[in-house]
Amino acid sequence: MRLTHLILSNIGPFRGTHIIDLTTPSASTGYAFFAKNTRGKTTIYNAMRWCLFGEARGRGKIINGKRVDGSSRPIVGDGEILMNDDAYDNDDPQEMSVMLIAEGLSGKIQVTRTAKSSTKFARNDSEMDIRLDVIIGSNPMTSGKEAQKEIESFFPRELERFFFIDGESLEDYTEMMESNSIEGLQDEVNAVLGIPALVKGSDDLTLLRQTLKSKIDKTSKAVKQSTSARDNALAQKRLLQEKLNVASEKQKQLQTVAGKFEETLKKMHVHQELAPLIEELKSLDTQILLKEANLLEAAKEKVSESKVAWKVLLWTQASKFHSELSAQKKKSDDSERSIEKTREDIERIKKNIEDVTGICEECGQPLPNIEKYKMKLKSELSEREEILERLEKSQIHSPDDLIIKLGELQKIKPQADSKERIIKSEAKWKRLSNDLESLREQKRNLNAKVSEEAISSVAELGELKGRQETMIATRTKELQEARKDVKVAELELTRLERLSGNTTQDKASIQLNSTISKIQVAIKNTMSSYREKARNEVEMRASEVFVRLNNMPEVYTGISVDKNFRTKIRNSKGGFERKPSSGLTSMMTISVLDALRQVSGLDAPVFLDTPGRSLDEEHKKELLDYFWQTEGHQFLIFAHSGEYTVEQAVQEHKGMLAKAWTLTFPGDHSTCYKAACQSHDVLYDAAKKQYTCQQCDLIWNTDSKETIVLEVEL
Amino acid sequence: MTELVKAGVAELSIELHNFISSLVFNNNNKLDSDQPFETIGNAFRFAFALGFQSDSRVSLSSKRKDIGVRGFRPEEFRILIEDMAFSEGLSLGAVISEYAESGAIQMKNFFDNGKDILRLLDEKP
Repeated sequence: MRLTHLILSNIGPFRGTHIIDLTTPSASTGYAFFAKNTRGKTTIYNAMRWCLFGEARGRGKIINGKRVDGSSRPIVGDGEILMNDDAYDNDDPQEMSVMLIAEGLSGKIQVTRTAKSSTKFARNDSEMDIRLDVIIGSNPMTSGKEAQKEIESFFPRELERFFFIDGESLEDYTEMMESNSIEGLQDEVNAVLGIPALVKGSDDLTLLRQTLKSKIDKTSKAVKQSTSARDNALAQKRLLQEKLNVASEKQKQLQTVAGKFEETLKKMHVHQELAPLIEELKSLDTQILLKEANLLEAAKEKVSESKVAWKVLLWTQASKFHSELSAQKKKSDDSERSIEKTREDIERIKKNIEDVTGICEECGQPLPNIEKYKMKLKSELSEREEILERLEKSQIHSPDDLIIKLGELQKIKPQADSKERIIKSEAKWKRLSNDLESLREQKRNLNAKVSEEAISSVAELGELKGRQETMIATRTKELQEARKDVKVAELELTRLERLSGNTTQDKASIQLNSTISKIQVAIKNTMSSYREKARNEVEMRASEVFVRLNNMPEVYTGISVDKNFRTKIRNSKGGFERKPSSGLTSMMTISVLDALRQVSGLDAPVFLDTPGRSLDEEHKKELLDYFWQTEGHQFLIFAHSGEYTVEQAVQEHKGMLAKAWTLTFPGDHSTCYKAACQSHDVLYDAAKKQYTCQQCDLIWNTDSKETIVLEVEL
Repeated sequence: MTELVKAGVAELSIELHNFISSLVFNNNNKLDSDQPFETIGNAFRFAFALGFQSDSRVSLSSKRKDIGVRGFRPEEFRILIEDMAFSEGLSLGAVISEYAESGAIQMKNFFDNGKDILRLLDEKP
């Protein structure tokens, strides 16, 4: 692929539209942009990256031996932006675009990416509409994601780093290549081999396999469930048949009992006229039972009350004796009291007789008739002693004996209401006894009307009817249970038959899964094999380039790439250069990058920003000699004036350089820079800071920061 | 005097013994029969009381049967009988038995007339 035109519009210092024509009749492959800092070298470099991939990243870094890309530069906003500052500040709408036109195997390739503000004076990228259009050969134009896919088809993003090389980042690459990190250039090699795509393909296959596996597992589970359900359904059918048999048997049993029950009812109908009598008999039996129970209680009560019946009888006589003894007791008590008083009188009289002195106690004079008085007292004493003797003789029973006897009699004395209670309980018993006899009489009369045989027959039929009713209830319940079991079994069978369905193993999925598995193994093996081949090829190609680039090829014989893709400079002694110069190291790095580019097989221009950095003069020349070789790829350098001068480059690489341009600001010119004029006859207006060409009237302001692209005449 | 009168044994002619035995309540048998006494002792006491009430004594026949000391003890009625027994030179049991024999005869007659025994509390035999 050869780049033919680059059209920049309002990007970086390029205000307005700038068309850079790379077409040339010669076969030379070298292109150069010469400029001082800030004139737009890196802007062109970034413009192409943005056009192709939609972003222009800042310089990356090497962290732990692994390259990490810089952050994406915004189109608009604060800080360093892609859009031209003047366009950003003043245009409405704000618009920036880059167009690449190239010739490829498929014909003309035209890529246009445009960023246009969607609002008035957009202040961030979310307010910008990005449009991408791609036309390849005679194919219709594609836009958006489709267009991006088209770009990736001829310029994979992973390979960008081998074609857009930043000289200022060479040291980073070098560090990465020499790093002890196990990864080294692994990502780069993977990119060259298209391994990310393979890995992505493998990942996609893994995802596909997971889906398939899930489907297979699901199907297998369903098949397993179906088989199990079929087995269960068969067992359930047998169970259902058993339940049906049971239900049928229960139905028959119920019918048999019902038939017998009907017969019993017919027989009972024959004895229907006896029924009331029998019912009455039953009622009498019940009443008799009840009455007997009552009579038993009454009999017990009568027995209990009659425990003292003999006392009632006996007391009619004993009470008289009791009264006599009570009278005796009273008499005895009276006599006792009289005896006691008499004794006290006797004692008092005796004392008086002894105490008589014949002298008056009050007046102390001798008493008259003292002897007469003494005789009177003795007579009283004698009288009292006779009374006492008589009283003592009259007392037959002692009071204590009488108390004992009265106590004994008290034991056989009934309660006042004993007789009444006994009579009452006896009357109650008698009444109940008569009632019972009456009931029995009624029963005897009824029994005379209904024969025992009939009663027995009716009773038996009644019992039979009762038993049959119970049996019918039992059989009905059993039948209901059996029918319920049948219903449950039928439902279960239906469920199992539905589960058993027509599920079959998904053989196609299994086969596909197996195939994908094999493909994944093949991919893995291929990647492993490719890596080793790639390592060999990178080592070989890098060595070839390095030998051509370095100025002591007899000493520095090549580059070694180990299995972890770490690189070292090999010397003629068969060892590795331990302390190579920075120039030599840069050469090694460029060699390896170019080797990777070659191995990638991608036919695309190479863009090298600030190529001569870190290189001495000899190596700088060697570098351009190598890359600007004829029949090679287009090789565009964006050189700082300190790296290469225009004159030197043109002089030293005449024939190799197809086209060259300078990028300048107007202020860089003190003569007319118009290609057709180039007059030195200019006037400078210091107040306005502007030059005016006196020949062609070109006016340019020395404060302007708008880049001028001028093609160098070779 | 007390030590001079013997307690003796309470007895009845065997026929009357059988009769008063039939007046003893049997829990589940013949509820409608007149069986007013809880024990034979009570039936004997009732017979004695009836005889004593009517002051009637009847000598026992040669075929007799005792009431049993667990059912009846003659000392229960010592207070009523002792003087009489002492004066007659009989034991308490002998005197009581003669009163009871008389009472049992009255009871049997009463019973045989279709009357309930306890009605004797109200009616003369």
